[in-house]
Amino acid sequence: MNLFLQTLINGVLLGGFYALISLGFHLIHTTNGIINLAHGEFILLGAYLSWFFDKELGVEPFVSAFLLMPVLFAVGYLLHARLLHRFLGRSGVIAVLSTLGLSLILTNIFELVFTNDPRTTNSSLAGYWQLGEITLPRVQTVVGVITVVLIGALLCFLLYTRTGKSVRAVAQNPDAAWMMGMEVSRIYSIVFALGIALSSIAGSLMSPMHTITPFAGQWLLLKAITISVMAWRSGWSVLLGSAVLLGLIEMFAATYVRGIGTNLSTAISLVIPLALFVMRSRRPFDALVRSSGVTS
Amino acid sequence: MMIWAQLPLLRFQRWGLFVIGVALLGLPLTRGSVFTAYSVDTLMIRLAELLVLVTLASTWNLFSGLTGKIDLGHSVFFGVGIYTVAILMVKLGFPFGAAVLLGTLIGGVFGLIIGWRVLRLQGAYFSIAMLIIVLVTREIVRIARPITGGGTGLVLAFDFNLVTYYYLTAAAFVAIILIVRYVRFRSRNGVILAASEDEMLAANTQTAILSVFILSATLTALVGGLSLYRQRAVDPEQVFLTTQTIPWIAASMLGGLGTVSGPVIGGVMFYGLQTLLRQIGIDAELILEGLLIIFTLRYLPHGIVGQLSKSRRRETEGSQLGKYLSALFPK
Repeated sequence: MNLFLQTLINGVLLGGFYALISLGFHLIHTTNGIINLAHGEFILLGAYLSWFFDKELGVEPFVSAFLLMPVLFAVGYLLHARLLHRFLGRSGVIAVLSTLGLSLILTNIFELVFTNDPRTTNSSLAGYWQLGEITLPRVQTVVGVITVVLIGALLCFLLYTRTGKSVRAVAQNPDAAWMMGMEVSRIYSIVFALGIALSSIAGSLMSPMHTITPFAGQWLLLKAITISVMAWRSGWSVLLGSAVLLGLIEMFAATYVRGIGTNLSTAISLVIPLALFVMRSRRPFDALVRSSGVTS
Repeated sequence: MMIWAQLPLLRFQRWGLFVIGVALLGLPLTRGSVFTAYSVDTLMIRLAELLVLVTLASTWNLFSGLTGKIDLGHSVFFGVGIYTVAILMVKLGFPFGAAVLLGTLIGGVFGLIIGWRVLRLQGAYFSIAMLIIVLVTREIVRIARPITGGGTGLVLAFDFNLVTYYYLTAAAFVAIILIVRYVRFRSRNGVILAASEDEMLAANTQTAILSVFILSATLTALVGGLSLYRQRAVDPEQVFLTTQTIPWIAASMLGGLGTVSGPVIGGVMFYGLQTLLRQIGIDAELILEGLLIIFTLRYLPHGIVGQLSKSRRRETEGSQLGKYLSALFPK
């Protein structure tokens, strides 16, 4: 029973972390309608910058996450407004290739600047809370709480501010929004920048829990895409729910299947997005996938 | 049937290419002597490497260039080819030639199984699905230890003959370029796909896409099987690399998506830049690839060859750089 409860809690915490890394991706995916192949590298950018802050200045990653946010917002805005803006509005092939090029360049820069050595940051929160026979890792728990707060803040932004309302309008119908006199390309830049800023927060908060290497970006991208496709065009609570579901599936497979548990959970997390993409004629996913244009 | 017929060449340039071809074929005869800083052996290894890159870029471009579906996981067919040949030779004692033939066939079957469902996906979803397929295949190879040797892989014992390898890659290059050229200009499927870029067709593009995908997978598996001759060992980490497809993409884009000579010209330029970087000693291959991709998208969306053939057809569209290029090579 204890093992079960512990696995449940670990799964939920893992899910919270997955929700965090897919926030920025999902925002850009649903609003701008593009798949950002450089998403993982933007998370790593936040993580590496936090590592730098921690090593050189001794700043806690939980603090530097929010210090870095405005900087990366500006970086994302300039990147989109000056460069990507030309590509991302065009046909699918060009958008895919430009984000691919960006991800390659960033990966190599990480390799050159931060070398291939795995990095982690030290947080003063490291350690465990003991609740009876159940241990609660502190960093993961705090990150889970921050994720929920971030989702709440994002919802408030989208529902109640003027810019947020324009974002929703553009997401629903860019042409109509343009005809109503909105600056659609500026909204796209803002959303892209916000997505990058959220990704960098995710990276900073990830740095005390996971080791960071230049090639981890692909793994992060795959998690984000899995969750974003699971949650398709539903609300942010569904995103959180599907992240927790994925976390639980992986954690239970890793704990309860003897021998090949970890291999199995890797395989499951790879097969889920493939199945979601491909099984378009099966009933549960039929409406979900067809309404969105994943398949022809 | 000249492979370079797409290029607007000056009169003597075809003779120049012919002379270069003969010189390259005769290169092994001069082994042992040393001219310039390189020995002939190093030169042959470099040239074989270049030919393999160009051939693989051509097989990638055969599918992705013609259909506009960016395949980020095409290296999976290379991996399936090389692994099948290794398994057949080590576990069942096949001779190299028979193993390569069977490996090529299995690559095609693998392409059929994957293409059946995955080809229906649009845009980036197709790209991501292919990327995931590389990772899934790697996991399967790692788990199936009795057949594939698991994470440590397989090692083969046979002698490596540089001259044989050199001619093998040259033969594969010529054969595959001729096949690609035939598919693009003469076959029904190629014509359907090239036309479907511009307008809606009544023709069945799904079947055309699937058959070109299978053909491209088969050819990639063939090159994979042949490269075992040089590598003589396989393991999942080295073979099922997701970054392996990237040079093929960069070379094809630089030359021109959907053209026959594009990957060859782009591949030679890409290989030159890559060698230059290696000589300087900067580990910046991914930056080179990423910059090339973004540069081509921004300034040369049709690639070098695509831009030239467009200007030959007197189409005025194109970027500023494209116009300079057209002025350099008038009709």
